[in-house]
Amino acid sequence: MRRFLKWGFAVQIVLGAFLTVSAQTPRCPLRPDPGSVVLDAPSLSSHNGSLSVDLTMRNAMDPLNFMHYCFDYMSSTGLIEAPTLRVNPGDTLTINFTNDLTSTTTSRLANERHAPVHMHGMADAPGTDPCTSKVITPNTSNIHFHGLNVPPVCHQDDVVNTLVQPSKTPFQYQIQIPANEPPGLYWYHPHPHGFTGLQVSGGAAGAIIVNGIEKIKPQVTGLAERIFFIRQQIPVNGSDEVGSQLTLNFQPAIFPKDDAPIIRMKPGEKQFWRIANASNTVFLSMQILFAGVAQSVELISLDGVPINGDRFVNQLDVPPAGRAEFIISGPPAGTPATFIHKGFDTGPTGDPSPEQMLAKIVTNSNSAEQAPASSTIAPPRPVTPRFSGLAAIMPSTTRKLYFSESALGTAGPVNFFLSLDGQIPHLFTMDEPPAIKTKVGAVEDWTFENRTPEEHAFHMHQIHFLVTAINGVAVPNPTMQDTVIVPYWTGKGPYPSVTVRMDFRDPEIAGTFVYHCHILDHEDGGMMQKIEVDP
Amino acid sequence: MKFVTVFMLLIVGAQWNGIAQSAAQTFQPASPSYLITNDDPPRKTGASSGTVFTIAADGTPQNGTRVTLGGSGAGGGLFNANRVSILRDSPCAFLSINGAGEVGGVDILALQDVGNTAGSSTDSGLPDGIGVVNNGSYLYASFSTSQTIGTYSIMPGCALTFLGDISVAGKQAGNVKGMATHDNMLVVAYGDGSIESFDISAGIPVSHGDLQNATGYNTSRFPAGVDITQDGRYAIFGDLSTTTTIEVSDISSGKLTKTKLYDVATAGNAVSIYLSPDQTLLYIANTNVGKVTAAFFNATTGKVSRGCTSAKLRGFPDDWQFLTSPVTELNTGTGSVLYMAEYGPNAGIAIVNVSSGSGKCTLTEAAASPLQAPTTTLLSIGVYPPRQF
Repeated sequence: MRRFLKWGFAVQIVLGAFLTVSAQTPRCPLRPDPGSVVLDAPSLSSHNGSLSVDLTMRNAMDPLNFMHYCFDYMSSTGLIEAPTLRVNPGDTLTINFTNDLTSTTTSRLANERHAPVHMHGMADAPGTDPCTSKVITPNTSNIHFHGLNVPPVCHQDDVVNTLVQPSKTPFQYQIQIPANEPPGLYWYHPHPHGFTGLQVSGGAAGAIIVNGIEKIKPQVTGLAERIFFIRQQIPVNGSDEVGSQLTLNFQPAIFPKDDAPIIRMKPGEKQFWRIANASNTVFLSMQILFAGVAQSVELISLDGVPINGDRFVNQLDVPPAGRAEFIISGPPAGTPATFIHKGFDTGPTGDPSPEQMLAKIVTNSNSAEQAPASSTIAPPRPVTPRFSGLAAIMPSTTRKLYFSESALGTAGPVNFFLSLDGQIPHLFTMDEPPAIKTKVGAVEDWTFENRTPEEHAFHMHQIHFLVTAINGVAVPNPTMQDTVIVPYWTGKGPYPSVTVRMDFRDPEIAGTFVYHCHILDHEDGGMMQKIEVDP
Repeated sequence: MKFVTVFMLLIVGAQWNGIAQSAAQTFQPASPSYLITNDDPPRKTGASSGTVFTIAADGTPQNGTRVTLGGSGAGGGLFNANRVSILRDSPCAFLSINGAGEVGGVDILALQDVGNTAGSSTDSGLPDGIGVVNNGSYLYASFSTSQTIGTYSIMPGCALTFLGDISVAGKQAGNVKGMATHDNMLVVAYGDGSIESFDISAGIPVSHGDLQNATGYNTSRFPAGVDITQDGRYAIFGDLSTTTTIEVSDISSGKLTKTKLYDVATAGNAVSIYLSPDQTLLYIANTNVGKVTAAFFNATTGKVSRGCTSAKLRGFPDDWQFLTSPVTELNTGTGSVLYMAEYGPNAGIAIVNVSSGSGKCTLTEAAASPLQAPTTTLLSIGVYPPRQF
């Protein structure tokens, strides 16, 4: 809550060093102006079982004092930002990642915000091997492949040990997409503990599409596909008066301060929308309004996993890091239509999340921003579906965890904890041992209690989980997710809780990885723990 | 032009003389007779102010008179950056003006703002406020944003003269969260797990070179509130924590030593602490849970042990209601009655009766509590005359 003040000060300091650099050379592509037509990010698709991409992480300041962190890709037509990576199950995804961040700072302000207490034990001297470097600074970066069920090891999806320092030498990520990876929307973003929020809010986030969803959800076949990333940019001065801004595919969604982004559709046209909440703190409550009336959409997938059965909803609540994919029908010609965040009650100390129009939907018979979803080809592979039978398995272990916080002032909590029940809360440090140990093959039921007056978003790396109960009441239609909303406590009565079933059966995910609140201020502030999954 | 200047000087001189005479009228009853708040209204809502109450025979503050300070407040900030510092031997209160980066001197008897004094051009107290403490000769102001401690000479008539500032930071780069003085020693808690002491014999603080992480640091408990025993032997720290944790450092050597950690309750963090006049009880405003705890303190050994915790005070729970800045009605014994600042929509001055004996204590909210506060942004209060250490 109200952390942007300090956050902004940190950003100001971080900016200092590269202002001169950004004046010389554009380090990030220009982002669209308010009121323009929303375009999807360019896509890069795998061929013959592989996709290899060179990405460079850069930062730059825009004229409006928003600091950009960019996954730059040099295409044949010029520099583009955060391309969509399209792969098939079984493909190899290679990313040659160069860290070209320039925001070196030794500022106490930046350090206090970002490294107050949760990095003790880290080495002082810069490391050279990204797999063993123990150094985290504002310039450190890496990539987390959010949602992919892949190994937590260096050069794959590891954020515990992999820390890439600025260097001209690329660091190579190479991931084999599991043959039974559910087809859907995943995403990539940096994850250097203490600075994740800074970099993701700067825009460093892109889509990964695992192809083949039409084989499970044939109703999307042939539909025009849109990929929308809702990000949250934070002004440099960070004041409450300015506040943060939501963006839609990098375009500010700040109506009525400025024109709303424009999404073009043909009248009555069905489209397949794939939406990621890549914001730092915002719990989205999305609706499509025609003449002010919420429209029903057909939910296809959550967090990259197609849902079972048919489900129609007129509101989608998606936590930070969550994804939702659905089919929408375009408005009749001449009907005013909008895509909105209707506002979300984050709790008494949660970051305010007021209603915000994300885009105007404008009918146009020749809209050309979208591509057909079925243009991809998923090779048929006779594999056992991931997560099969999970709901019926008797869990081997049950655990209870809880979220808690402590505050030093009226600006809100400053320390964020995620703890095992019975454990004294402590701030996460990168060098601490795993809080939980389990074994490959385990299926466990975890219950998260929220003992704070604000919402949290639990996220598990490496695996998905089945959301089975909320406040002890079974969920009628359980869904596989990698991030789930944990409702806030009012201060009275039992703590709100969410129960999920963890699936550790895949031997590929053996290793040590993390789970945390995906409100990135909370994650950076210590609301994280490690789990070790032994072979 | 010269005439105008001389004329103005004469006017100022006359005003100064009047103020000085007022403040010089030493008025020191045995028990506190005045309660002073730093109203710290939010920016854009009017000038900053303090309010001076008289204390009735039954301990109830009454007849509040608002003293406008000018400048703007911060409307919130750190819980335990005490924004009110009162001289022991003169009816002067110093109130930080958090938005303006200044400190105002208030003549308590004259109910008058003597004048405001800025720090250096870089001293800034937004957004977390400015804590102030004094040792009778100097006033120290912790500027939370600029991470500086400003030093002011205390002049006759509640006036201040700025001497200079120093940059300070904790081991994990934290800024000053809490301060306390004892004679020539200033003890600071940074809220990042570390603590430090300074020599203030010459005014501007000089570090004793004892910056260190407190014992609680390794278990995510971070000293933030500070008090010092009457004999200057122990520095007591209240921790930012999800439990109620106190740490004590033996400072009889003139430097901080490794702290001993005491878990005294489960009622929430302990960033706002205050030692009773007889040093038998340590009052802990459990800031965000609406309770107050009294832990037993042994001034000979420095040991802290569990005491008692009040029921939740009226007006709680409201998740934006906070309880800070405990002070006592009396300057003897346990202090008899505790006053605390309440911040938030149900803001007020909490009044809690204290009883203690035979190894037990009770804390009971008075019927008149909470007294309506001048603003909803009350975080700091003080009494005159204050506790004598």
